[in-house]
Amino acid sequence: MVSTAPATTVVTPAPDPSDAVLLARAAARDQQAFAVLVSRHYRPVYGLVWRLMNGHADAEDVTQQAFLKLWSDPGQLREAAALRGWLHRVAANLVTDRARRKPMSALDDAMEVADHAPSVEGVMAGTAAAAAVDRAIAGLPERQKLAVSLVHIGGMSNIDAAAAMAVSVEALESLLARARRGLKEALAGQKQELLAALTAGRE
Amino acid sequence: MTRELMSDAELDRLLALATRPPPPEGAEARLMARLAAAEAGANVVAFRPRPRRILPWLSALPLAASLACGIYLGASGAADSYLPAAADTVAAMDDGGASGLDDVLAISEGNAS
Repeated sequence: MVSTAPATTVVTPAPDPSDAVLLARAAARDQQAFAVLVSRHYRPVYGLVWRLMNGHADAEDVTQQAFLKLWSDPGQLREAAALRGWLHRVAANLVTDRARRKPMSALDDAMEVADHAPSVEGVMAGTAAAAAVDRAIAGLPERQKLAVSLVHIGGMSNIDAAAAMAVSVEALESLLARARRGLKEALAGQKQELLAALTAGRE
Repeated sequence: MTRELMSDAELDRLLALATRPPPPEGAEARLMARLAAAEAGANVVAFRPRPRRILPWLSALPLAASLACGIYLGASGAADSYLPAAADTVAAMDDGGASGLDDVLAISEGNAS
């Protein structure tokens, strides 16, 4: 007798479509595909804009403009692999344009720093240290601020950041070196407190 | 007095503390709504502009020529033979010499002819 055991089918979840696939669908005016791209890239782009605008409330509007620019013509992006850098570059250019039209206020208007430190003391010290670091970055020249934001905060490689800024890797490294020197000098007066905050944050 | 600068490693640890703000709540939904609104606006059919008339002054040429021709013929009297007889009657009345003012006075005095 032949056993008729039901065949077991293993359902594997479909892999997430790549940016290239989503961009092609977005070019065909597929809003759902574009929504997936937005969910993937919105946060880092917003973070960069927020940083470049010193926490200004218009950061959301500028971020939206960057994505709307992509939606208006997804075909302008030749390689989907360059999407992240393209979005960052467009967003940075939009910030520059906005700054030319109306100056931005300082970090005083920024939203509160999220707290994920383990203890109350750690939260307080970490928050104060974060605010000091934010202020020091805000005081950098625009190009240096962009380089630091892309590499040290956004986590981009030097190559990707250089492509996003449309400069050579050597130029980017020069910007980063000057920015780091500037940050060290800006934070030198609070060095002991900041290092203590680092220690408190780990406790 | 020179201040002591921190090391690269210390700076990296501090940079890790920099604020990484989450997007405002509902920001992505607002973006998609804005996008949908822009898309809906793009679907509105625009008025087609009226095609521009090619050389509109061309149509005025025959009218201008006709007017010039009429003025010339009228001035030279070449067209008098084509005018109706009523034109001669008017000329005859004019030859009577009666002025409009004389007629009015005659009528007011009861001497209307």
